[in-house]
Amino acid sequence: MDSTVQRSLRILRRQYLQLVEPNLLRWPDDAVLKAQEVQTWIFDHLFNSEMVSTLPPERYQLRVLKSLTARIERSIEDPEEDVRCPLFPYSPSNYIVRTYLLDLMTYIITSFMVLGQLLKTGFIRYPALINFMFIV
Amino acid sequence: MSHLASLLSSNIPSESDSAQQKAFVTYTYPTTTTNNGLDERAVTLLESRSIISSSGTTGLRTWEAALVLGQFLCSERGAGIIDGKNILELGAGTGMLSILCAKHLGVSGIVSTDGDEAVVDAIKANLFINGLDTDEKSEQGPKVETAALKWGRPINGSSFEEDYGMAVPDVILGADVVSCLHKLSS
Repeated sequence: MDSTVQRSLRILRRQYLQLVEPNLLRWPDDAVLKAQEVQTWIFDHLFNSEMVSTLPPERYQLRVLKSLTARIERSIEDPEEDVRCPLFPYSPSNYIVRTYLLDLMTYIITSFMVLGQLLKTGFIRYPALINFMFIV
Repeated sequence: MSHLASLLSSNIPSESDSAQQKAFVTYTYPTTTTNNGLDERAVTLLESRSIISSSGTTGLRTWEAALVLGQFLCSERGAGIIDGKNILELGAGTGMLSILCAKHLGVSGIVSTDGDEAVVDAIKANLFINGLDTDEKSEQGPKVETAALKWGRPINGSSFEEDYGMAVPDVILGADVVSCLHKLSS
């Protein structure tokens, strides 16, 4: 990584560890974020609890991670070429980009969870009542 | 991938809950002699980000003024004022400035004080996070003490060392210090 990239990553890390609002973070250019070594650096220095013992709260981490995946997604210009490298890498070190697909799953899972909560508070009483009546 | 998965499955607290929980915050000041900006002066604190005032104290989060004063103390001029000196900090709150001074700015000793005892306990925890345990009486490094200091009582110069384990301070630091009179009277 050249020094400009390193500098911009350090600024990002300082802001992140100071819990600066995710929409105010100064991100490196999308093209920079696309590089695998940059993503590995970000994972190790911003999200890897084995390397950083005092990570920000999880909710904040998640918000930043979502913003990051959106940026990486945006940076992909040629799916044939770009997707092959950063999105489906065969290197075990490339954690961040592999979160990309999972992020899509997140939306599905969390919306199911929200739906489940709604059901719990409202409708679940009906089957309970029916059971009760059967027992009687 | 595993990280996002664990974040998702870890039952993240709701917005309002997490707003009240204490979180790690790391404030980083660059060094003056920039080694390509690689050296950083970091202070990590456990603080309540969203709470300005609660439980009768305002010391649960780091205030902007402390950050600005920290910036000044990291400058050449600021560092000249505190280098090798004995420092007393008033209204230390999270202890950010005291920790910055002890950990990175070469003070001889520092007594970090606040009017609220619970806040002083939090300062101790933050000192520990930064490897500055007050209980450990090591010969090296600055002396670091904490105290719940009630204002309005005279401090005797000769008994200061007995009470606080540090010689009479050369410099008194205070950033956005407020005194809640209604609390003192209660």
